[in-house]
Amino acid sequence: MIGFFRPFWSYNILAMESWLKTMSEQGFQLADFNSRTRRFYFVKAFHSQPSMYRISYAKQNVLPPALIKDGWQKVVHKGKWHILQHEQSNEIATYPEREGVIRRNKRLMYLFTTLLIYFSFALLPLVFMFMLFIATGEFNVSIVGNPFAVIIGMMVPVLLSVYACYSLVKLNKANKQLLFGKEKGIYKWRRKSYKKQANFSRGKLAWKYAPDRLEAWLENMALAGNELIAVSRFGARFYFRRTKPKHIRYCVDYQNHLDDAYFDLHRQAGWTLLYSQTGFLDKWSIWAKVYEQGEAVPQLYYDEGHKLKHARRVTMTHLAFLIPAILVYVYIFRDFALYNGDTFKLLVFGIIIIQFTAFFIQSSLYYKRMKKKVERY
Amino acid sequence: MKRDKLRKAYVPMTETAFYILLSLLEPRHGYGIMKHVEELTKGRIQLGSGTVYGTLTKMQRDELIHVYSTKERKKMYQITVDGQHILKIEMHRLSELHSNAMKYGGDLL
Repeated sequence: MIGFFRPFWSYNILAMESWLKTMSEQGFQLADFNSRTRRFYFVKAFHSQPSMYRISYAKQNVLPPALIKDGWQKVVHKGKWHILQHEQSNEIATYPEREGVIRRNKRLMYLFTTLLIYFSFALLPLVFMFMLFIATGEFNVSIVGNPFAVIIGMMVPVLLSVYACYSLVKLNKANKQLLFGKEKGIYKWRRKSYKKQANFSRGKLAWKYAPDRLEAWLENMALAGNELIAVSRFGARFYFRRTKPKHIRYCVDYQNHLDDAYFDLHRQAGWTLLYSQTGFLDKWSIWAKVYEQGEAVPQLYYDEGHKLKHARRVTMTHLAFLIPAILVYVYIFRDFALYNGDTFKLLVFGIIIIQFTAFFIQSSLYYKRMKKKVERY
Repeated sequence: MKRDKLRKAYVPMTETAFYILLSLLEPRHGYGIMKHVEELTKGRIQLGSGTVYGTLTKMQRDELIHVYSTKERKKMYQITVDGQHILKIEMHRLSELHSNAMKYGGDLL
């Protein structure tokens, strides 16, 4: 039995799977792995079958029946990690899901982001010192206490921050690869090619705080013979083409979790994707569907429960960001007002507070409107 | 313990959740579920694709359904043993509902 050390193996599942495949082609079959020491153990098989491998992460211990029927079997199972193997005796028709790995990566990304925010505060004095050194060329710092302990104390956050940055870059790349295949490609192509065909464009900012208003505006534009054909990358500019008046239903959708299946399902159900933002925290889509007069208006959510749940998700996400932001700015503003009467600073922070409060009110009103709408039916 | 929790969360089930879970006794993809439910109810229930995606994501998290993908990277869903357990409880509840309705209100029909 031979062992290999793969310290960051879980950051790139795809590379690991192809490595396991190459090993099996050379006659080495995976026998075991230790999730703590990050070592993978192989046995040399005399008539080894070149195999396909898939790594999945799931609480559930049972494989879907369809996968077993297709010839997949579990080789190793450690904690929530499962390594599955297919001997390729028949053509592979099914594959294990990636969902678990993607969600795990996302959780780690949240953790590392928090860590990074925390350490950036801890490291701020160090950065200032360094900048001072660059500016003045003087380095007269007197260390109080054990200098060795101080250096270690500074090194730990530096090293952890580097580790967090490395992990974030790796995990973000891995998730992009795992999540989006052809659907994102279709969308990007559409945005670029349709933008050129537009007759005119309109700017629209902060529509995320009142998505129902954006839907109504777009629907009225379509009725007036202006059909939306593309939206700029960051969602600030809307491109229209002049057509005959049409009944188009627009749905602005917000999701916490998105994958190819999301785009696939809506597209199959007859919706056209006009805008998609799949950032780490912000996942917005704008969908459109043409219908005839007299026909029932198409919806992404027909049932009230899901309609309200969606509205609640939008509002809660905004409030979770706005409330702490407003509090912090009010605190800073108060501080400036009391001790440092600089009018310019007061003005800037005042405007920010007013703007954020306006977003807060808009978000709350949106939820109230949706609730009223659902109750009416 | 886990099943108790699931029962509390899913029973009684909404009509949409029930039909989605019922149609997953066979492996299907998202759009297949929408079409199947529409056929079963002769068009009475129209599922929005957002509703289907949301319900599937939730059921998958609660391990009521398995997920795998096809060669074409299409996501397929199938009911798990826990899912069948919950579906059975709900079916018992519905059959009680039906038999009582017939027994005491059958004359109305």
